[in-house]
Amino acid sequence: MSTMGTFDAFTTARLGIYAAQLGLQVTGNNVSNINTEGYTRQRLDQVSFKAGAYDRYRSQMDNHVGSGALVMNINQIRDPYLDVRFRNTRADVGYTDRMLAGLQEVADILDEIGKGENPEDNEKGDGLLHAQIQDLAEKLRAYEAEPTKTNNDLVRTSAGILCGLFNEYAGKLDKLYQDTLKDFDDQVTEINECLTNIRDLNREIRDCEIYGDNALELRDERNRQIDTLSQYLHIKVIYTEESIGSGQTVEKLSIYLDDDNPDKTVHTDESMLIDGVFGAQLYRTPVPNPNFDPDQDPAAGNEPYLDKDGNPVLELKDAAFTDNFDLSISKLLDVKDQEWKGISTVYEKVDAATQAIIDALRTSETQGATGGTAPDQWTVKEPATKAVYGFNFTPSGVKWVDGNTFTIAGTNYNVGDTAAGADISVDDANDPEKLAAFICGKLAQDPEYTGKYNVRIDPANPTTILFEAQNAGAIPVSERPRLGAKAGTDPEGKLTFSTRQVITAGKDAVLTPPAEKTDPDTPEENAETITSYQQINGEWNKVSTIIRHTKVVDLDDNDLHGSLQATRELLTEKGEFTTPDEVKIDENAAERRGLPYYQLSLDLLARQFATQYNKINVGYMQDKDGNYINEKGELLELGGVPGVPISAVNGLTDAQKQALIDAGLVDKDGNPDITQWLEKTTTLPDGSPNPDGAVKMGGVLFSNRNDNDDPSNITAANISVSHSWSNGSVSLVPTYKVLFLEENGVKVPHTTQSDNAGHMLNMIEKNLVYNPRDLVPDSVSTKLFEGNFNDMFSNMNTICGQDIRANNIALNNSYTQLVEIDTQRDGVSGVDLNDEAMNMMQFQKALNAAMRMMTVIDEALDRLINNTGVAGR
Amino acid sequence: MIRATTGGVLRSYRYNLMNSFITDNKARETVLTQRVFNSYAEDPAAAAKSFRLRKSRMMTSSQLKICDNTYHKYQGAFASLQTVSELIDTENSSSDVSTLKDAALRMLNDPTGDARTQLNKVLDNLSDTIIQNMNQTYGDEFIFAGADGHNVPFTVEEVNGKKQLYYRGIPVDAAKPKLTLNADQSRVEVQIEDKNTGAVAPLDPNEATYLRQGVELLDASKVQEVERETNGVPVTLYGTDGNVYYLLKKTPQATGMDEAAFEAYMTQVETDYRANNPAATDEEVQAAVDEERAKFTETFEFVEPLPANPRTYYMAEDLVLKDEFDTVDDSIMRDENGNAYTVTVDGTKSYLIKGSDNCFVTESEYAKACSDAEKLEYLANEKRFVDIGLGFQEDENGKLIESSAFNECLSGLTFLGYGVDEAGDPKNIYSLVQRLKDIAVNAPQEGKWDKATYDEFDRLVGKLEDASSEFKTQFTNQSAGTEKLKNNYDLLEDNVYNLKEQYSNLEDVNMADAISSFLWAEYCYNAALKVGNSVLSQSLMDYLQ
Repeated sequence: MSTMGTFDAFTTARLGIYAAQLGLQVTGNNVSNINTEGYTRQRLDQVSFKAGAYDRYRSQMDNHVGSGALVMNINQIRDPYLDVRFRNTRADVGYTDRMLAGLQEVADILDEIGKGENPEDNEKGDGLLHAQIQDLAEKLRAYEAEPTKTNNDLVRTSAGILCGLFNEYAGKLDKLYQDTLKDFDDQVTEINECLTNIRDLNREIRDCEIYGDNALELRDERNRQIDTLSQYLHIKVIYTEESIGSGQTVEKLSIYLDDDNPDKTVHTDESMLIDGVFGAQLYRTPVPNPNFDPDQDPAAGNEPYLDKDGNPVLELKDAAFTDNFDLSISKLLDVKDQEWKGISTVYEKVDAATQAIIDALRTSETQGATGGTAPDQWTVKEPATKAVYGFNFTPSGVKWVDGNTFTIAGTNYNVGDTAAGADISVDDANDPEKLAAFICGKLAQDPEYTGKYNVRIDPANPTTILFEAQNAGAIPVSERPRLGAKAGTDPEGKLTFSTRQVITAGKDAVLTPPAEKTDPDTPEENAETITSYQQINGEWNKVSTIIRHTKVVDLDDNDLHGSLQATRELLTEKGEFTTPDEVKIDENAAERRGLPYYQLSLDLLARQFATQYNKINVGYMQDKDGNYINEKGELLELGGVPGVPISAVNGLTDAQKQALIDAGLVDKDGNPDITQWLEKTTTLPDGSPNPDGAVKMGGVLFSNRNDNDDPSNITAANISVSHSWSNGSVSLVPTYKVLFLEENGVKVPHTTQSDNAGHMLNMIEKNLVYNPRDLVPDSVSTKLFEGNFNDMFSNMNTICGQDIRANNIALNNSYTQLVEIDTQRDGVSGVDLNDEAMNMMQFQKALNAAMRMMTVIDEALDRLINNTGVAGR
Repeated sequence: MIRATTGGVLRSYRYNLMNSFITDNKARETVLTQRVFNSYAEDPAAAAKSFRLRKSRMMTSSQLKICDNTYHKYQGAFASLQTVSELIDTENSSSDVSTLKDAALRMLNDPTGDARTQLNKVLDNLSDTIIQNMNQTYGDEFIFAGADGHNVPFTVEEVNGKKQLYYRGIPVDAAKPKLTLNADQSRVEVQIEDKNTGAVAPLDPNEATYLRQGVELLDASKVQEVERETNGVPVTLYGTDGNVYYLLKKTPQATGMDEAAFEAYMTQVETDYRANNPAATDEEVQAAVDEERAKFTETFEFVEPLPANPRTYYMAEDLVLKDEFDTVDDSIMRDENGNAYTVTVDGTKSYLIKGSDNCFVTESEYAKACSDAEKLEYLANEKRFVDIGLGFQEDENGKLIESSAFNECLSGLTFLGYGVDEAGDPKNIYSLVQRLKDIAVNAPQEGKWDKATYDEFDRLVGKLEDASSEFKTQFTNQSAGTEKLKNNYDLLEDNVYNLKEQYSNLEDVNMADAISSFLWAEYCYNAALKVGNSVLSQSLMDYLQ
């Protein structure tokens, strides 16, 4: 029968009560947090408990009963795979949602569906810019039919409204850009807050875990933060175990970017953001100072950055940011802003050359002596000393007699009559001093000591033999004189020496190794190696300590995914306006279109519009057949091509084209440009009008400000009706043709001829090539679109619409997926009322049962204690 | 799913409820806006097409206005031309004398002085009225001014007492002068021959002067030069035959023989004859002498008194009869100095017969006439295009493709005529009337016209009829243009409706569909809300006692 304490049953019941109570608490906690965002369902980790050990004399008949239930832990229920899927999908949602929002904001500005009103029947939907271009066409059509001042004014008014629309759209796009820029910075700030929070939570959780607390609520918060972060960035979360010593480990959470760059050679897209208690921060890459020397510490005169004016600055906060919103990841810092470091130390024997230096200096008796060359110079700190050992000869008291022998260093010596060939006389042998001198003389000749020691009698003590080392330095024990043993066989037992006395200890010189040396960036990047020498067990070792630092990572264009990347693309992607340098960074850049694309497209449309109309309204006088003439009505001729009129309507002859090319009068594409020639002929070298040259007519209609006539660098934001057109000094030129101009200025008027106005009207419908290089000279594409003004604007909207559609579909897909995963995740980690109700009932019943158990045992013991054995009383 | 939790169910429900609400909202928006799509993103292709159609509608509407404007201008032109037509020639005219043609015919057939005076005034008034009609405006634009609608096209100026019609500053009768040309097509220059020295010099040393074609020339061989006194008076001889002779200058033997010398000569002739013809009879000798004598003309020198003058015998070929000389010599044109205008046609020197008015043309006059003629030709065919929806396109050189636009230019010249015909008569109606008027004014006031005047008047009346016929042709063409504009207007109007219908089909919803969809979406949304109520209420907690 097993042993069981009388009151063990109480303990069993009590454990049941505890467990049930805790279960109820957990249930209550779950129910309370049913609406807490990020809360993970908790569960009691309960095990069956059995106390005690087996009996010494265990019977097979014994039955062991458990001792109740123990609550081992309170756990969370999470599915890491669902977390991964959720975060991946959330990054997709973040990206498409932000991209969609940005594009929709573009569409809100540019999309004219349902806008505008048709004045004829008050029907809506003609658009604004669309309709205004047609309104201008209508006014031009009227001007073409009747080139009057009134109609000129009407055209100008319409053009002014069109310019206003361009300005308005450009302004709104710019405002959107600024808002998006702010959003970008806000997102970076939020990401950094998340990263800081996660890092700090890691630390708190680590501390809790060390003290045995699971820190479930902190984990919930950390998960919530990670979920939030995953919306901005596509991340990879990795859990590992971290040793905290004594064989104990705690969980370590690391977060990396999740390898989004399609270029497999790029690895910055796998950079670490969080490593346990260390965390990085994201920041916009500052403009680097090309003159910065990275081998020197940043300081005045060696500033690492440039500010927006191009001046070198020391602080990151003062630096300007790169134009393409490049991002960098900072070094990993802990909560005290201390940098993460990885330290490893390698001990190795010094190399032969160094050992030779050491050996040379080891026996040096000169303090300050040096060996090697700086900085690898060794110095003698304390000089070496020579060892002196002494052996005292003490007579045994038994007299030597003739015939006695003794052995020194393997040679037998006879005591007796020296005349008879004995080595030492009896008298001398019995004189300790003489015997000592005899022995000393023999030892001095011992090859074992020759060249190592000088053997002599101590002058202060004639019975003491001294062994004085010839060289300074420590002498190994094996090489020290051992006279007792050397005395050899002493059959008479009369030769006795004291033990070896160290008169002077032989010491090696104490060396000072070369100063500690630090090599940055060797042998690996972002690490420094500290080299020093350390004497271990008398041996000098080279000690290499490698300290690894985390590094600042400059992210590539495509390293990120998520809403931050979407915002960045919205801010940077220029589609066909992309330059080759940008394509080198992202080969798909020319197919990605963000706000700059739409801004530049609108600018290109405005510039094309202004350029074409300015070109039409500036020309040179022609005769009725369209040949250029001077103010006397004479036909102009190109030098080298005599007798051939220069026709504005039939094009140039091959000879005329060649003449222009020969004269270098070509446009940017290398085509002959007659306009340059005509312009040159208008004035004489002294600047006065040339009566034999071309006669310039008209003036620019559109300029970059309404108070000037400068047609350069016109954009949608600045396109204006020119000052001269506004004040009437320039009007639309209905025709450049002059009928029958005679030398005296007489001509046949044709006040309603309007062939040039016809060009203007035709221009509205003319198919033009929109060349991105007109705005961005080194853009990769030379053709954005070909069509008329309306078509170009419509094309912008179509592209935007298609992008919105594509993103909308992607968003719907990813969002549906996200909801599904989140629901699944909730299925694992979420609190369910039915579940909790069941748990509540279950734990309540268990509690009741345990308490009932307590009562039952109490009653049983009461019976046993108070009511047993009282029969018959 | 292994486990459905309250939160998960609620999340799923919220998501689906949101979808249901979005669908409901979308359906509601469709009903409210009555549009199939409300952004490019919803249907980029349809949106782009819709804007293209709307642009076409706006463009067509605009072209419609231009077409309408041009049509009304043409209607104005039609009214003016109708009036002009009636003024020129209307068969059904109610007035006795209300047309040019009538007036001209009456003048031709009622050639009394008074009547002509009256009819002249009628002609004058009618022609002025025609010009006034041709100077009509539509709005601020002169209808028949071609491409110079801001300036009055026709003006009348008096030149040398005659009314001259100008179109945009160019005389309407301007024509390239036809010149007498050498065989090598070089122009024949007019020179003057000094009657005394015979030297030939240009008419104007500073400017070449050419001869108009059709001027009668006189062969220089027929013009004989006679000996003249120092004062230029021809040496006049009085013949015993009663004729007056001039002594030809060119004759080398122009030395007359006095009577004695002559008789001696005749004796010598007789002697020589007998010597050469020994067998000749006296009759034959006499005949020979007489034959020789007949070669001479017996004259008296031109001295007073005649009887005192000795007889002189000249070779007949050395003399020219004064009448004969005057007939030829006085008919040639001379300058104020009496020097004859000469021309050399293909190396043959000729003189000009008097009576050819305006037979010279200077180089500058010639150039101006050519220039004016060129201008008239250009102005008559001047073009000014407007966009009435025919395509309005330019070629690669920026030159308008004419078939893609409407030439709305109405030049008064094409209606009234310009230049001159083969006969040199003006083709312009107004100018013809002026010519008729001039003839009538210059004709004798009394009595019938001489035949030449009558014939010329008749001829010009015929030209007037030709011009009238040309006017009617042009008038008909213009009417056709008006009709074309009207048809085009109707076509454009149809186009506008068609385009509206097209984009309406693209953009506008079928309301029955839209309302059905909306009701269904609303129903679904309500159902989703109801489901939500049950989702929230159902829990085991509710059943715990």
